[in-house]
Amino acid sequence: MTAPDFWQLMGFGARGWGRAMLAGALMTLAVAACGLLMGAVIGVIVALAKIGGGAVARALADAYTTILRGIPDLLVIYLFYFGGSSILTPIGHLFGASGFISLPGFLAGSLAIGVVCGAYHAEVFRGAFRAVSRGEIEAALAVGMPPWLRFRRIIAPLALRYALPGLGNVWQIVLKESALVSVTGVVELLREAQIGAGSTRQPFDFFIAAAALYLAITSLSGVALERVERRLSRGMRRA
Amino acid sequence: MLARIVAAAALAALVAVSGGAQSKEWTHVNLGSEGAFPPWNMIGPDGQLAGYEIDLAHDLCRRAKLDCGIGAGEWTSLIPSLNAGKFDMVLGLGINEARKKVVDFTIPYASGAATFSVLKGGPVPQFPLTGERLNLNDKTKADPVMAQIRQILKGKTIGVVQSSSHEQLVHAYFGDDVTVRTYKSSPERDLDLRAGRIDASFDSAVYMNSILDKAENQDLAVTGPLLKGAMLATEVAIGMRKNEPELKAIFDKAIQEATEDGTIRKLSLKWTKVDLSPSSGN
Repeated sequence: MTAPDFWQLMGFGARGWGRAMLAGALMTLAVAACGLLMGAVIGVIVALAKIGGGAVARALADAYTTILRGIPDLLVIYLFYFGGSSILTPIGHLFGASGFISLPGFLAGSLAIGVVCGAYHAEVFRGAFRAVSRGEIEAALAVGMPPWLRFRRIIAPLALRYALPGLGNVWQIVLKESALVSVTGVVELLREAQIGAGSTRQPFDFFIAAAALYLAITSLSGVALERVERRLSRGMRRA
Repeated sequence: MLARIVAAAALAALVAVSGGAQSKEWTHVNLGSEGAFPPWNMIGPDGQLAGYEIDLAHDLCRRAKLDCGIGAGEWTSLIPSLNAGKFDMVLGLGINEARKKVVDFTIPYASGAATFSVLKGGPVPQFPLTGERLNLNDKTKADPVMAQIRQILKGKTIGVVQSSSHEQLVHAYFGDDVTVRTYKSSPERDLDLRAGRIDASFDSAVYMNSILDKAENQDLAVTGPLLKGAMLATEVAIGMRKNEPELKAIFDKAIQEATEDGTIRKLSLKWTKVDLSPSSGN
């Protein structure tokens, strides 16, 4: 591998892979962002169930986090993608459809990632909700805030402040997890690198380019996260 | 009463589903390919599939007057995708007993061989019978040679692609005498061979020949006999789900024609520099 060859290979010319690799990076971001958002919604619900739910809700929430954090992510993706279509196809046939019916790879992949990272989200949010001091909630109760207003104005902003570093970790996990989604046929960054490495037999160039793109994404999101963290802790005393 | 109606409806649906599978009229076929195994199949920077198998698949579909879509998927996800129904056929499957239990095959459209590569001047000396065809089913001739290679490889590490028939062969013929390391793809394995992390590799002869002209592979040497037979999947065919006799008949006929009129010879020489015609006998 020499430098001019590398830039030609990763360039934007007719034989250059630059555009394909960037498209792969965008796909990685899209899958990861969708997964993260879905996971956040699941995470808040499960965290609330763990804290304030009845015995059944708590048991269900505990089972969910234990199972999803305890099995390999690839397995979950397989279950959603291949399992999903083996359930959907016969159902579709009953209603007169023919052929193969599946969740689109992107949907199955980001759903699987969402379900897995929801378990991590739940633990992060649970800790954050617990960290909101009792006094703040009592003050909200004292001025007569109804539950939803209390959650929106007091608990959520305070909890988010505590949750943010943990959410940053979850985001990094999700980004790397998104590389597994390629089994569904989604061409994200790592799969694009593998295609390029296989088709041109230049594995080093492609894996180095992929590593650089992953690092660019993670370090940029690190900077963004720090900004948000500073903004959310405006009212806090700095040690 | 209700239960009986539901049961009857379910039974009718079941009959309809299985009946549909039995006498299927094929007009559109989804083919799957790895898309990263040149010269058999590869993907360009524009995302287009190319290679020997891609050209041949288009030719076969034209002969069979079928509308074919060819998609790419990771090697390890191809057979699950086939069974789930995403693909109807998978290109580039070597025929062997283990796979016959899972999928059905067309007649072969390429007849290759498998051989070894080592680092020039590395810890493993050259093997006997380099470049000569050897059929493992001819036991009286093949077994002494394989025993000799086993002796040479004793205590060494050999790299193969995971879930390949090459992996099955090294386990069966070299057993506990060698350490087997598996890789997701051949180029990844070659990186380790060049780095000296493994002592030898075992792969298809077409692949081995296709990498030797690359500058970074000048330290590699192809050695040992060109093997076929036993569990080796040197006969390459199209794999399909079990019990699709119509589809098999269509493609068997098309492959037969392409073999006889020289299309396979022409295409394989163009892409692999080797005549892979199934009838070449060796």
